[in-house]
Amino acid sequence: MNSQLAQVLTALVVGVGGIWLLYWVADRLVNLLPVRAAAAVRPWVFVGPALLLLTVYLVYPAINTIVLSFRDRQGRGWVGFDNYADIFGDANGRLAIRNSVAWVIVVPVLAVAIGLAFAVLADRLGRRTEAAAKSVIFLPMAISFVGASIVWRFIYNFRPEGFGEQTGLLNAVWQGLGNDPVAWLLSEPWNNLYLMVIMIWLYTGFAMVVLSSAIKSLPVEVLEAARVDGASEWQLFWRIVLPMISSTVMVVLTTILIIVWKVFDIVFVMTGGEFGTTIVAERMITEFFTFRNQGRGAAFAVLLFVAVLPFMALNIRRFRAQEEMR
Amino acid sequence: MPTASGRRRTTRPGPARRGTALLAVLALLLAACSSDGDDTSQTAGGGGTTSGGTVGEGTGSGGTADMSGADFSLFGAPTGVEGEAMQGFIGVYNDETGANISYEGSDSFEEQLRIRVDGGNAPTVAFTPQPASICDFADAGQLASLEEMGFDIASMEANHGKFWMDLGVCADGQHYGIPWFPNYKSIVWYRTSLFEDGGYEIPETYDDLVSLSQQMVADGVTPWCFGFGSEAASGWPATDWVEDIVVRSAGTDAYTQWFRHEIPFNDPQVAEAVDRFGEIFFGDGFVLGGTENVAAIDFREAPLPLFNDEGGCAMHKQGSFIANFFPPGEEDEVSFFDFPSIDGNDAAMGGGDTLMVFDPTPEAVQAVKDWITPDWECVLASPSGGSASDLGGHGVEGVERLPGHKDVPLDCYETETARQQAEAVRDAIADNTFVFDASDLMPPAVGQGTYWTAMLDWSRGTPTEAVLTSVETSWPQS
Repeated sequence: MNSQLAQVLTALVVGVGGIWLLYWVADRLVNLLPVRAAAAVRPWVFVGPALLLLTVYLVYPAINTIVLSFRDRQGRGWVGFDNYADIFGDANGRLAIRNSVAWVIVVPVLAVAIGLAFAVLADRLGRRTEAAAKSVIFLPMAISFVGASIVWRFIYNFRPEGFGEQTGLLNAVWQGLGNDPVAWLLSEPWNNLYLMVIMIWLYTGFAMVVLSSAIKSLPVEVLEAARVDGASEWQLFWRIVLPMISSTVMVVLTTILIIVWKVFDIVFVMTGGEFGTTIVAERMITEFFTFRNQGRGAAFAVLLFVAVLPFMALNIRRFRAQEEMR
Repeated sequence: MPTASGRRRTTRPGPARRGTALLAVLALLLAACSSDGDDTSQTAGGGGTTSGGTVGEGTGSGGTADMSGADFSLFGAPTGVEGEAMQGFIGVYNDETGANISYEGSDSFEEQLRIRVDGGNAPTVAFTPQPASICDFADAGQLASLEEMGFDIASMEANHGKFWMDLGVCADGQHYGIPWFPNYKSIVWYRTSLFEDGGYEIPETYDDLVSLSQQMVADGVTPWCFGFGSEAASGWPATDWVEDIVVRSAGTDAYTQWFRHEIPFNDPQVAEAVDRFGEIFFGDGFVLGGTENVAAIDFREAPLPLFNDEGGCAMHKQGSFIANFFPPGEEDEVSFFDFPSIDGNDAAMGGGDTLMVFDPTPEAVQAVKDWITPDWECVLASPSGGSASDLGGHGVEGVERLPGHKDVPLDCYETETARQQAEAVRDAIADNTFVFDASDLMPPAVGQGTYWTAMLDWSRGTPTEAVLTSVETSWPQS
């Protein structure tokens, strides 16, 4: 324990100190140059290490993954587009893509819609109550995907007749309403939706917090002017509030969307991708690590990468536009 | 988690999860080295420590050679009480021979072994629950072959079963795996009171098993509990059924061809076996809770209705490790019988720990040769070694290991449970019908992927032909 602590501290001192030393020495060296040359070189000296790290840890693996997706299962011989053909030719691969598309549509939209509703309604509560209500909604954000999945396993738990009392919350409610218990996670295709609910539960809080702060930053005069002109609260929301926070809504939407493309833990823990719930990120992990098929795993990774790209671009453009407005 | 007992957590969840049999045993190599003692000492010229012929005769205290020069580490997966049992076993061996061998267990054995070997820090001897990993090391030139170390292959095949020996044959045609102790899954658990009250007899054949099930339904008893759920590994319990049937109905050779893909996955023999499983699985009223729900039942909860006084089930097939999940204090309400014969063929299906030697010093080779003798397997068999061991046992209560040698005396065991399982495994080894779980030996894309999916689909109504064909088309090329 003590030696671990010592290791951590040493690592911190060496790491932070080393970086500081590196920059300090580099800065000194640049100072030795003629003034004009120093001015030209200095930015590169400071950005250089970051660029280098980015190249090593981000650009190189990305390129390598793309290369790998055109190779065989051991990553040796070239196979052209075979891996991609396999994915699109395989019923399971197509199912994964279809399910992923459903995820990226349903989850961000519902998370933002519910989060927005909470933000607007909570805005009308007293300060204390608002803080308390928002904390509860935000709480799930602190739970990991795997942790959340385990919690929801209990909710969706199902026991056939003869295997004891139902312990699942959902089946308790369902039975309370006079129905027979249901094996939720086996009910295709709705089980996909049941899994999405977990993600929505996790990310509603995030959407709510960001949108709430956007709503609160709206100029009071505008809202008052609208009220004076006789706008109903309903009209106020749709005609004034929503348009004014639309760029924030877009940012939240695309951020969640990108996270959704990449989520695999929920499906992996809840169903292992069986019963028609497989998604692209889950296939990627399974192909790469369980099946040790590097080529196909990489091809799934590239699909994800390509799918995320437009939203990344959109997000960055939105962000820039927002910055310019300030 | 699919791990039945944490120790087998490995990269491939294969036997790991399935578990580790709590009970396993050990073996001998009586004649194996008698004529080859000289080769052994040559291998590393470790002056005089190995006096060739000694072990050969070693019916006595398994190898009485002076082992004082043996100072190395044995690396394996068992930790916890099973690790303690290994320590106890090695302790007895050290005391008896003057060796100074240490045992080291790791929960992440597979990864750690790979890291240590790649890092030039390989253990002298290791034993793995994953026979498929042996040839990775052997083909990279990191293991000593049995031929090179002077093992007698023919007598080993007779003593430990050719099937198990063949799992260690690598690209160069030499043997690299040394069978040590197996685990056993061909077990059907049953509620004893139901059998007594109903006057049911333990079925000898699979057909008897089917008619017994029908009889039970007629008597108002639900015969079977199934549970195929296991999180990301869901489906594996179903594959055990198919494998136990294939090895009996098609034989060990066809079984080997099947997992090696020398015959197609959907070979008629396999389809017939799956359909035979269907006679029970889809039997009218045979399955508690209905077949369509079996995929939703966790394999750990599946045996629980065996313990219900009313409305439960009478039988459940699962490896011996499942006893860990029985309700505490009620274990006595169930007993087990061996999976019945088919067309007159008996067999045993399971897994096992296989030794491999990275550094063939004469002492290490001698130690390994000793460990697989019936005498030393007897020490590893139970806490006391039973009435059959002159050397005592490993000393850890509750741990018994099944025999990896056909001649390990049944008196090495303390409990009736272990004795019964040991007998089945021993007989199967002698007949070469002891096989490893085929899904662990297939490429992971099949054995941990499409095969599981196929059985889940099958359990929910997809026809046999369709699911087997889908696995066949998914078999990785090259």
